[in-house]
Amino acid sequence: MIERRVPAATVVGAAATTAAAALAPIGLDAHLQSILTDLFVVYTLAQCWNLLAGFAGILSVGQQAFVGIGAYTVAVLVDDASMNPLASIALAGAVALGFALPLGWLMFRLRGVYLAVGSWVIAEALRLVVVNSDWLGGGAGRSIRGFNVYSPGSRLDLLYWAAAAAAAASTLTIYLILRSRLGLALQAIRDDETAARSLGVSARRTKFAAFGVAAFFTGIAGAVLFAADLRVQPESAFSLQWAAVMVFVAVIGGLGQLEGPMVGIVVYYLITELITDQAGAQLLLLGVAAVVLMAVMPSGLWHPLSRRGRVALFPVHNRLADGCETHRRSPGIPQPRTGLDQRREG
Amino acid sequence: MDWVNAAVQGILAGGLFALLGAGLSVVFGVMRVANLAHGDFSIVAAFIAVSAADGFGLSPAVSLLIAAPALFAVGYGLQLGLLNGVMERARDAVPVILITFGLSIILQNGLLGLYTADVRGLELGAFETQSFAVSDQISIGWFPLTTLAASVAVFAGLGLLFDRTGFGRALRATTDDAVAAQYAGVNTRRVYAAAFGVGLAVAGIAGIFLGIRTSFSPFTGPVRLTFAFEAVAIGGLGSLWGTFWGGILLGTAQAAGAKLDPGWGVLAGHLLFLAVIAVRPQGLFSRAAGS
Repeated sequence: MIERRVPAATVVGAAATTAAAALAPIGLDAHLQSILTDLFVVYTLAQCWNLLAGFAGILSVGQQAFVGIGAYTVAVLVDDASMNPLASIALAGAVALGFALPLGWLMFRLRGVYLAVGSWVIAEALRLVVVNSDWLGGGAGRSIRGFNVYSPGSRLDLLYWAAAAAAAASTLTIYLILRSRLGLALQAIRDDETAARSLGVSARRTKFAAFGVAAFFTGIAGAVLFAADLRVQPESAFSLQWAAVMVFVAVIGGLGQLEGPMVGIVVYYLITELITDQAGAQLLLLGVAAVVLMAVMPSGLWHPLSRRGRVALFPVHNRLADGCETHRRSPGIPQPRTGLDQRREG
Repeated sequence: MDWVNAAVQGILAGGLFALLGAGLSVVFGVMRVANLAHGDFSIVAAFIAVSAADGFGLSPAVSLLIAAPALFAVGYGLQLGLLNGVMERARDAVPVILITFGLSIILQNGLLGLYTADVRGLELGAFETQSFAVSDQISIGWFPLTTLAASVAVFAGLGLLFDRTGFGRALRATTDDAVAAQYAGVNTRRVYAAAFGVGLAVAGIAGIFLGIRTSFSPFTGPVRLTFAFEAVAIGGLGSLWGTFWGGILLGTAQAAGAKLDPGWGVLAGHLLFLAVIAVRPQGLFSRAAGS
């Protein structure tokens, strides 16, 4: 027997959190609201990266490409095409998804370490294309005027809701994927691609699916980030800083666990809001935290908090329903598993 | 004739990209792990030379003799104290790659705190700009020629180190089969540490030469990493001289791109890299099938 129901506590908890987040602008001042917007965006970036690196074994450090694509798409759509700002944010995700096909085709020709640096080069190449494009404003970038139709207060509300929706939708999508056949295929490929393929899993299609979902939400996150700034520049939109932030938040919380980025974002908040407001020092501290955790506790902070995997807010691992656990290993570093873990019969 | 000149300058610059790639190639060849902080360590060497020049008036040529051993020591210590343990506990390369990525960001922002975001350069005096004319249109700078010669010398030195010394034998044995090498009495932990040290020392040498050639800031490291990686990937896996020719091709592509439009130099290098992985992912000079 395999537990297949989504626990009632997960449904109630997630619904309550989403409702609270949706209503929050009523009671919050502008400063807190913009902090929360930032946290939702960074959380979305980290959760997408977690899907890639933690569940699909795609170790990309070039995901800032999709932040930049999302940011420039929203700028072009609201200003050049006079599109509705909310619709253009959603379309930014779709355009990022469109780019995921050719970029993924290039990236998946590489493996492991090669893929990591290769994805980075692809993001760099895109940045240089933008720098050389007069249409996109070149190195100086361009302003995003379409969001000026709103008063500063309602612009803040709009972007807050967009960010909260992206965070909720990305979590739900990734949760459902991981509980589906596709999720099993992803983790099987991560653990042993050759074995997974010999069992009939299409590695290519599975990787593209994960990469596309991550690209979509990363693009939306990028659109929200730069719509809030009212300006987009190639240096900042395609900055390695985004890769750093998503990697660190996911690694600190715990790679390969849906709860990981939720814990990581708390640490991110503590460091960026309470300890220092200097961008360089923030990244330095996040980096130190991530490196130390990788060295001494590679499964991240959520793993001990969850009593070594016994508590799950969003259960995605397959286990026997009679309480006899088969998946008790540290999830940060995939271990070879027995056939029992992977079998999935109703 | 302009194009011939561009090609000559590209080949001269390519020697430095090859040198950057050599360190990465050594570490990857032995440990199957890429050091994502490779470019940042080359910038650390350049900033050591900045401090030596500001504080003691030392020439970059002298700083090279300080920075290279210092980086060897850092690499040796890092591998022995941190990365060996992580590699032994982990099933795959993911934790090590992520740690080096973390180190990259830490080094960038650490250097930012120490040296501010100002763009710096290293001065070598008049030698930097002296050149001799080959023909009416082509003149070759003494300094770029020296860097190419230094690059060839480092590659030849690494070749001798791997092929002719006891350390090289231990290194090749560890690369082929680490467990068997251990049974034969090789201390693989120290071999890995020395390989990482050599990788960083070469990165340091490249960093100082590049620092004389072009300006740099605490955030130049990632760009350097992409050049180093492109040299390795274009040349092909597990082939030291392949990395050298990969660097030369990269330099030529950048020079040709810059000739078409000043903004396209680096982009042309990236496009060459992307074309190579699209057509022949194992690299141009590698006999291995697939990476």
